[in-house]
Amino acid sequence: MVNKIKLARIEKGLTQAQLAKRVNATRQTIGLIEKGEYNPSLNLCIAIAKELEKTLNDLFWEES
Amino acid sequence: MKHSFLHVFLPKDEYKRMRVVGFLAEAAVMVAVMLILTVFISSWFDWSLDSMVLAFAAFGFIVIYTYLRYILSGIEFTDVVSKDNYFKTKIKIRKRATKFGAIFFIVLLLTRGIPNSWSVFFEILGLSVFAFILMLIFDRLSLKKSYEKNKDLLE
Repeated sequence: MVNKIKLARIEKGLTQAQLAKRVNATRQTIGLIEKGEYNPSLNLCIAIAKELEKTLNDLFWEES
Repeated sequence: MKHSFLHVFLPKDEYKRMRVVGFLAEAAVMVAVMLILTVFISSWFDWSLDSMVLAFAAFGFIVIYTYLRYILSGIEFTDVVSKDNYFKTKIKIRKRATKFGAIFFIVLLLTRGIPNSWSVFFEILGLSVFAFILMLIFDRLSLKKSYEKNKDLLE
């Protein structure tokens, strides 16, 4: 999950600050999510997925 | 959280909000335990405690504990990542502390009235300078903690 968000963000050409602004969070929160140090709420997960044009599965599902 | 009256006072960012709620909950549990212990101890030793003092102590503890945890957790200045931004924020903090000290001075003058001696004037001035220094120290500490935390999360 950790690198998937970061990769999707970079793929979209966004900085942490830009993504944070679009999903009404702070840059620190996005950094913590990317590092796997904070589990976001479902609402924030959906907002991030929408901004990055990915599904929740693409970003948050851990494949075994 | 939207259904709680606390919602109005909490930060908009969900991570910050969750942390602040956690600090408030910790403080509330500690106050509850301390109050129960105080009741037991005062009954054992037959102390008579002023309820006004207890109420202010409990309220003060919750405010101070939550504030200290907040500044030490490095969640106040979420966007300070670069050295340049760090120094700019330091200047802003100094200005904010100066304003706070000035407002503190004016409020003291208004509540105590125009001082009739130099000693009273210096007492008011001293308290205002103390408020300025405290504000500056806490804000600088919070900034340092936030900067260190943000650097670790850098893209």
